[in-house]
Amino acid sequence: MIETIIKCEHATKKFGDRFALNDLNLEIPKGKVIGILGENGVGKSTLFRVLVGLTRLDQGKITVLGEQPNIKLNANIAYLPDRASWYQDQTVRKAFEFGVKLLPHFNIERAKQFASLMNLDLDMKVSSMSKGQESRLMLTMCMSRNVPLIILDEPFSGIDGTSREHIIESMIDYMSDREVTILMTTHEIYEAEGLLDYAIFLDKGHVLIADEAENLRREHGSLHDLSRKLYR
Amino acid sequence: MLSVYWNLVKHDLKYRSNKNFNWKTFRFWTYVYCILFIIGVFGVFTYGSFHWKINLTTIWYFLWILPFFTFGMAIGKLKDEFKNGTYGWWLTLPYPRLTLILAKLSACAIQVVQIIIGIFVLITVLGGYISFLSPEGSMDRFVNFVKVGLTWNVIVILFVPIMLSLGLVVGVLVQSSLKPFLGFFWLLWGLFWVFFNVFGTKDNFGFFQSFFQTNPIRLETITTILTSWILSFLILILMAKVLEKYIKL
Repeated sequence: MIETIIKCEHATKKFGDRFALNDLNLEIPKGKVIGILGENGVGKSTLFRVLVGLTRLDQGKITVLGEQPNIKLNANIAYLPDRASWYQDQTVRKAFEFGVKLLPHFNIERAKQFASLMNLDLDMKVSSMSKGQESRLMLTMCMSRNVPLIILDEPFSGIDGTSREHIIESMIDYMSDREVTILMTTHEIYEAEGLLDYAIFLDKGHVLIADEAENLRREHGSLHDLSRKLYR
Repeated sequence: MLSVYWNLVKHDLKYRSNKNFNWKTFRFWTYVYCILFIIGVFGVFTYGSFHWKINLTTIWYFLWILPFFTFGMAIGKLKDEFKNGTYGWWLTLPYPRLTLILAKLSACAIQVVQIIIGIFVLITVLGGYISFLSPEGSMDRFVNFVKVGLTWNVIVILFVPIMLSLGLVVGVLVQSSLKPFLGFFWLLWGLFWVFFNVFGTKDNFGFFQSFFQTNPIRLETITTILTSWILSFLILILMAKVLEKYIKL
């Protein structure tokens, strides 16, 4: 039996007349890299915000790591918000100090290793970074925490194609010896394909398809091709 | 939890602006305007001390700007997280919302107190300068001036918590689904100041002047300060709940 880390039962969230999550039923398996995929506005970011307790459901129930989303639970979740920025006055080194002091289970040694993989200079100030470098720093802040669940909302936004490939390779390498579940959204399905073990395609707040990436690839060629078929 | 709180305070003490903000230019022009302002004030009072009869203690009226400044600072501290796109990090820190906002307000309070002390020193220097220049200037007059200033600086500092928490109300409500209640808040705010000015007026001098001419350390003052602290704490608890349940992202 597959162990689940997140369970959604009839999860519903409305903004005005629009359903962001519409009677969403979903079980997310533990220990895999899961892609929550779909076009803009299908409910991916809303789902993530509900998981970390930033947004509350109107109806239904969600359990994360066996509990309903709450503030204390975030000690065990690393979350990279969508369209986020990092604190502009900090250097990479200061950001890591912030991590040590305020982010539970932050591993500074791992952060330094990951920063090196990401080509980040420890003395570089965030205000002088490009959007891509800032995204890499935020990804590093999340990936350096010893937590069972990492949630990444568009982690590759603003990062150029070549760097994206490099980052994905680093993430695969990082994942190889760790018991962690990574939940991520991305529009770069083609490049992230190799990273994903499981894919969930959403549309209008509910699940279109959820299956092992391997099964989907066998049936449809690739996740990228499947995505094009689904959202044509 | 205390170390987390203190780390949050230290983190919030840093002044932040977004990437596009030209901090160097801003700092340069702030210094320029401050120097021009100080030169202007000293110039006017140098002239005035020879031609007018200056009531030194009236200079302390300037302190009434500070509560409004404090109010605005609290709004800005919260607004920065949303304006700079860091709210996602801040609101998902695994600590009670009360701790998060208390840390922000504590950082604000430290900064406000630093500013108040700075202004106190500056005005004291100005008062000393005028006393020195003025024909009727005396050491006693200057000592009395400093005493009045010190008393009122302390009183303004004691009202910092309520002004910060009122600023917090605006800062939080504006980001929440309870934003429509802001209109109600501004109405109450306006009525409070009308009440304060109309009913506080004494004799022909107006409220502020009469306050400066009488001893402010009275039972009513102490009761008002203690009540304002309790009210501040209740507002903090209420806003922590709003931040937890009604935040609109």
